[in-house]
Amino acid sequence: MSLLDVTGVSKTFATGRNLLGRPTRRIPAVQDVSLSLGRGECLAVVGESGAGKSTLGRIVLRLIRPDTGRIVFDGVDVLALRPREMRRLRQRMQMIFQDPYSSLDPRMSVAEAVAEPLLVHTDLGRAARLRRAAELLDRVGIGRRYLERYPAELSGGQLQRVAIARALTLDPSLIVCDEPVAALDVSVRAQVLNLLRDLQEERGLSYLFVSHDLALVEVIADRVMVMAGGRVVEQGDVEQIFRSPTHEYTQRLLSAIPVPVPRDASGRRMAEVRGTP
Amino acid sequence: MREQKTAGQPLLEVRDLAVEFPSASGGWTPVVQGVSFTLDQGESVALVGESGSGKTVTSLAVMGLTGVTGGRVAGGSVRFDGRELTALPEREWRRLRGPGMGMIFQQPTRSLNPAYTVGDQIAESVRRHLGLGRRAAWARAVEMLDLVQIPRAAERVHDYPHSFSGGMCQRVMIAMVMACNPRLLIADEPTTALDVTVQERILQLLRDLQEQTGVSLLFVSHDLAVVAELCQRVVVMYAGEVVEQGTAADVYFRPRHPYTAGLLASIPKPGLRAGRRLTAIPGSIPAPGSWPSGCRFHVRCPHRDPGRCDLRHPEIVPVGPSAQARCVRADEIELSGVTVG
Amino acid sequence: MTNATVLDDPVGGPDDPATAGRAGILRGILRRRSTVVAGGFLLLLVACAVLAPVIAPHDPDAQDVLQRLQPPSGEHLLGTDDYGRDVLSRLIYGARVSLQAAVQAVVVALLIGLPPGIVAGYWGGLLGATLTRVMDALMSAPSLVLAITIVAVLGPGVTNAMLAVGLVMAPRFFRVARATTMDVRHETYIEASVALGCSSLRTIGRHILPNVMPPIVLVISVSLGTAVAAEASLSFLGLGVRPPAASWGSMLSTASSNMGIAPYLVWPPGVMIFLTVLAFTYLGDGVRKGMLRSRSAGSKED
Repeated sequence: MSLLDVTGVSKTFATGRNLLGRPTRRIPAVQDVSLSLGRGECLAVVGESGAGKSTLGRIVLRLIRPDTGRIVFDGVDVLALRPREMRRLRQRMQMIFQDPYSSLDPRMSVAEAVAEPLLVHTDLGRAARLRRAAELLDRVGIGRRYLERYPAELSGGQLQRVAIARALTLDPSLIVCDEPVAALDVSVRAQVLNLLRDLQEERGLSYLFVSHDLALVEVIADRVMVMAGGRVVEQGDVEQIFRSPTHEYTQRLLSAIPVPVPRDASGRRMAEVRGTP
Repeated sequence: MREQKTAGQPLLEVRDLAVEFPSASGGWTPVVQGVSFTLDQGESVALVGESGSGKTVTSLAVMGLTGVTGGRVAGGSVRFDGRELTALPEREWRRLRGPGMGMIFQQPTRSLNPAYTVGDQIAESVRRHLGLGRRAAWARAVEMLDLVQIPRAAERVHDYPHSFSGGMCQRVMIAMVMACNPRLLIADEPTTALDVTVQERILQLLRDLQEQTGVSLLFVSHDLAVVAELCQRVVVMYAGEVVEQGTAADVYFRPRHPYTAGLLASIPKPGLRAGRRLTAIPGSIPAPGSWPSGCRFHVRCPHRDPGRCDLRHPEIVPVGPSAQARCVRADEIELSGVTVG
Repeated sequence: MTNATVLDDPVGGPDDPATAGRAGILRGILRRRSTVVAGGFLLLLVACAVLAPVIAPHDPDAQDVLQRLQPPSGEHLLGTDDYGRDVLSRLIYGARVSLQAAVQAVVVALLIGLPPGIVAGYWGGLLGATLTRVMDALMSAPSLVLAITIVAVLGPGVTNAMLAVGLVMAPRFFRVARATTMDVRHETYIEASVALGCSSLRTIGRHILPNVMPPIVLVISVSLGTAVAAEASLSFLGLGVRPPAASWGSMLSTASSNMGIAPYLVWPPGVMIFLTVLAFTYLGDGVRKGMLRSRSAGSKED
C-alpha cells in the first residue's frame, strides 16, 4: 500500500481585488494533479518556476488547501482532519525548505530549533530534548560546538543540515523537500544530497523531492514527475525519463542542463586533449 | 588555443590584490590576499569558487565598490587599460563605470527600480554616461532591448520591471549595462537565480553579445558547469586566494589542484545513477580570519601530505605553458578532470 | 552502504559575526550621547518620584495662606502658589503623578493595540479588515475631544483620563504590530513552524512576538512622552487630578490664572513637561537607531 495518494488536486490563486473584494485575476497554480508515493520511495517533481511544483508540495502537507481533490496519507483523509488532528499528523510529515537562511528562526539557537518539535509534540523534559537534538545534529554532521550557535553564524550548507535534523526529530514517514539544495554551492550540494540519500536508506523515508534541476534528480529519485503550467506533462521511472523522455518539454529541460565541458572559439564543445600536459 | 603572452597589454590586470573587511573585534580581517590574474580585450574569464572564497569581493574591487560594501583595498594593484584604479578618486570612477565597465548581479528583479519603466532606466543611464539627448537615448533604449533579444522591444520599453520575468529582467539589466558600450562586463552569478532553460538562453545571449560587440567578460560563479558554457580561461579561488588558473581546457581536462578536481567531481553527471552518490569535497570552506596554516585547503584535501601541506603556505607556480596552481604536490599527484564520453 | 556521509567538520567556526542579540542592541543604543543623557534624565526623574516623601522639603498639600504667591527664596526654592504651597515639593510629587499616569496610559494602549494588531496581521481576512477599520476610526477621531468625552462619561480623575489617553494612543500600537507581523508572516520560518505542527499560539508567541517587540519598544518610549503631555493637558483643563493633589498640568493651570501676579509659577512645570517629553522622544529615537545599527552590522556577504 502506498504511503501517500493524491487524487485530482487543483488550486487557483486569486490576485488583486477590486473594490467589491472580487479577485481581478485568477492564476491556476495546480490543475488536476494526481500522484502516489510508496514507502521508502522518492518521487521527484520537476519543473520551472511557475510550474506549480512548490504549491503541490505545500498542498500535500496541507499548508495550502486545494480547491478540489483528495489527499490520503497512510489511510487518513488529510483534508477532512480538524486542526488539532492535523497538528498531530504533522509529526509524520515534515518539510525542508529551499532557503536555509530564512527557514530557521534567527532568534533560536541550533539546539532549540532542532528540539522544538519535541517540545510541541511530546512531553519530554528539556534535558532529554536537547540530548535528542544533539544526537540528530551529530548524525547530520553538525558538531556539538554548534549547539548554542545562532543561524546567522552558520553557512548555508550547515543551516540546511540543521533544517534536515529538525525535520527528522519526530521520525516522520514523509519529508517534502522543496528545492533543498538550490540555494547551495555546487560542492555543498553534493554533501547535502548524499546526506539525504543516506538518511532515506537508514530510516525508510519517503521523499517528495521538488526541484527545478533535473541533474540532481537523477541521483536521488526513483520516479520523476515533470510539471509545466500547473499540469503534469510526463511521469515515469527515473531511468526512462532520462533515457527516453517522450514529452518535448522534458527533452528541453534535459538539454538545458549545463555540461562541464568547455567550448572552443567557434562555440563547439571541446574534445578532450589527451597526452602529457 | 590562444597564446596569452604575446598579446599586448591586457585590458584588466589584477596584481597581488588584497582586500580587508572590519572584524568583530575592531581590527581588519583579510578576505582576499595576493590575487593576480589578467583579462585580455574580448576575452572571457571566469572567477570560480564557493561562497566565502572571495570571488565576489575580488570582482567588486575591480568595480571600485569595495568601500561601498564596507571593506578596503589593503594592497596590490588593479590596472584597467593601463590605468591604475586602486587610488582613483570617486569622480573618476563615476566616469569609468558605464563606458568603461559595467556589472550585472544575481538578483535581476531587485536590481531594477520598480518605479520607472525599463526604457526610462536604460535611457537615464545612457544620458548620464554618453551625454545623449532625450530622443537619442530613448532610441538607444529600444535598440538595446532589441540587442538583448527581447521581443517587441519598441512596445516593451514602456513596461515596468514587474511585468518582466526573472530572465527578462536579467536581459534588461544586460541591456542597461551594454547601452553604454562598456569594454568590460562583470557578471556576478547572473544565472544562479534563474531556471535551467532560462539560464541556457542568458548564457547564449552573453556569447552572442561578445561576438557582436567584442566586450570582455569577467564571469563570477560557483558552478564550473555553467562557466564552461562561455569562458576561455578560468581562475579558481579558495579561501581568499587563487589556487589554480589556466585555459578552460587546462582546468577542465587537466586540473592540477585537488580543489579544482573536487569541484569538477561534485557536478552531477548524467548516468551517474549506479552508485547514486555524488563525489563531495568533505568539510566546508574556512571563513576569513580562520584560515588554516600551510595550504589553506589541506584539511579537506584527499591528497594531503602531513608534514608538508600543513606547514608551509604554497606559492602559486606555473604548471604548464598556460596554467598555474598553488599546490606543492601538483607534480606528484594524478588528478582526473572531465572526461568526454 | 556505509555510514560515511561526508561530515561537515569545518576548520574553525565562522568569524564571530557581529554579536547579534541584546548585548549588541544595547551597545548600539548607548553609543549615542543624546540617548544616554535622555535616559539619565528619565532615571533621575523616576528616582525623584519614588523618593518624593524623602526629598520634598515640604508637604505638597500644606497650605499657608500667609505665604501666598511668594517668589523663590531660601525657604521656598521655587516660591509658593496661590494657596501658599511649596512649588518645589509639588513639582516633585507631580513627577509621581505624571510618570504613573504615563505608564497607565501606555499599558492601556498596549493592551488594546498590540494583541489585535498581531491577530490582524497574522490572520488577515475579514477579521483583520474589521479590526483595521475600527482602529482607523479611533485614529481619525480628534484625540483631545475623544479623551474629554470619555472623562465626561466616566468622571474626572487621573485613571479615567489616562484610560482615555490610552484608548486614543492604541491605534499606533495596532498599526506597528500589524505591519511587523505581516512582514514576518512571510518569512519561511513561520511557515516552517506551522509545518512542524506548532499551534498558532506558539507560532505567534515564540516566532512572531520577538520580531514585533523591538519596534513596539520604540512606540512605547515615544508614547510615554505623549502621555505625559496629554496628562498635563487634561489636568490643565481640570479633567485629570483632583485638587488638591499636584500634577504638572494642574500646576500650570494654577500658574496661568495667576499670570499677572506671579509669572515665575509657569516655569517649573512648563520646563519639566518640556524636558520629559523631549527625553522620551530622544530615548525612542536612540533605541530605534541602535536597533538599526546592530541589525546592519549583523549582515555580511561573501
